[in-house]
Amino acid sequence: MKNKKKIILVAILALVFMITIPQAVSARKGVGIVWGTETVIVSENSVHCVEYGLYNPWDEDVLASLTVDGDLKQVVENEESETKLIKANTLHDDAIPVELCFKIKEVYEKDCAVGEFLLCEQDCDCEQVSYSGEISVIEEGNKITGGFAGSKTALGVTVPLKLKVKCEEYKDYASAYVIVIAIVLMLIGLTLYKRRKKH
Amino acid sequence: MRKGGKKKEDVFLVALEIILVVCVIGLISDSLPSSGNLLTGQATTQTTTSQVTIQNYLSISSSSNLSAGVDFGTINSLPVTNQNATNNYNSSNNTEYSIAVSTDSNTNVDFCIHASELNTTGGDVIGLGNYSWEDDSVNNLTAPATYGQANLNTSTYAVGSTGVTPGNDNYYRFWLNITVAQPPGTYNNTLFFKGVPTGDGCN
Repeated sequence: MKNKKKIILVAILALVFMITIPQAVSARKGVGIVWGTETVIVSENSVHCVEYGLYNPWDEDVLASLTVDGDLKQVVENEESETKLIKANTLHDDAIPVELCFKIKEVYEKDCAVGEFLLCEQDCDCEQVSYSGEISVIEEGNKITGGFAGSKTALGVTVPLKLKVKCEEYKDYASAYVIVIAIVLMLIGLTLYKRRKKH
Repeated sequence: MRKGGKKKEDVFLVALEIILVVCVIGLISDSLPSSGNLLTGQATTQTTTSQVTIQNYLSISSSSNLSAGVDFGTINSLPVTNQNATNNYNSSNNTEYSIAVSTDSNTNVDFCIHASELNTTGGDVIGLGNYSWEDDSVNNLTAPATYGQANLNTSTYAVGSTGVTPGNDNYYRFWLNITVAQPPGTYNNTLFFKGVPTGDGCN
């Protein structure tokens, strides 16, 4: 009877060992990215944000961050997102949202009759300006301790992004109108003032 | 004489008022949206929007042996040619370096690799021309192949296996040549692996 109990106990332990050990050996960690856009049309003098999702359907928690490469580096507001802890078994449906924002300055030349602000027009007869690059989610460095000789490894997933800057044709005479209106109002006021003074 | 002066003033004022009205109309029309939005007529149209969002997602993971680094062990005798990384072959003659594409992905993956200089803290360098690699979607004694190896590059990513589908692995092997003149020391670098959606290119 005692022997039977021992055998059952050993069998259970062996089963637990067989189930857990291979999992521990093959435990993996990795990174994933969810993206919904690769090309965006943006306006001049605007801030445009693109949302990505970070996920980790693997066995171990990971630290990961988003980085930007290519022309996009010129316009991105935060070159690298803050590092996020992504729990193991986080599927793409539960991805952690991370937003990257891009500040687009004035890129198309405008012709102004006076200075840089009066009687301006933009005719958009030039080539479209665009910023291309890559958005990467990088697994934060593996901690290798001891007297290691060889190569550490880094893993990431990269997706493309292109921002096309929209050129809007316009003729801006508003500032000229405002100045003329101000001058006319001043002249009318001055004329009426003089007339009242004469009486 | 005075009457003539007043008349002149009146004419001047009327002219100013006309200019004022013209400018105000100009300012208003300049501020309004383009005429395309203001067209009116007998024909009427109704519009509605149509929308679809396509979402892509992709996740990869390195094997525990690849995460732990690519080690070539301690070499006591130079020169060496095609020194195997310690996990190039296990007891079943399979490599233990691999990157898997998660089943929770909806796009195929192209794999890319590049490396930093392999050097000592003292500045001695093993040129990356001596550091070679091979990858394959098959894992056995002959794949990834020992021959036809590609060298690593510091500046650009090299293209590895392409079109690896979700749920599958990409396997790696690494080799190192060291000349007899190489100074002793502990040489380290970093290998960068990235997965990109198929067709997007590595660089």
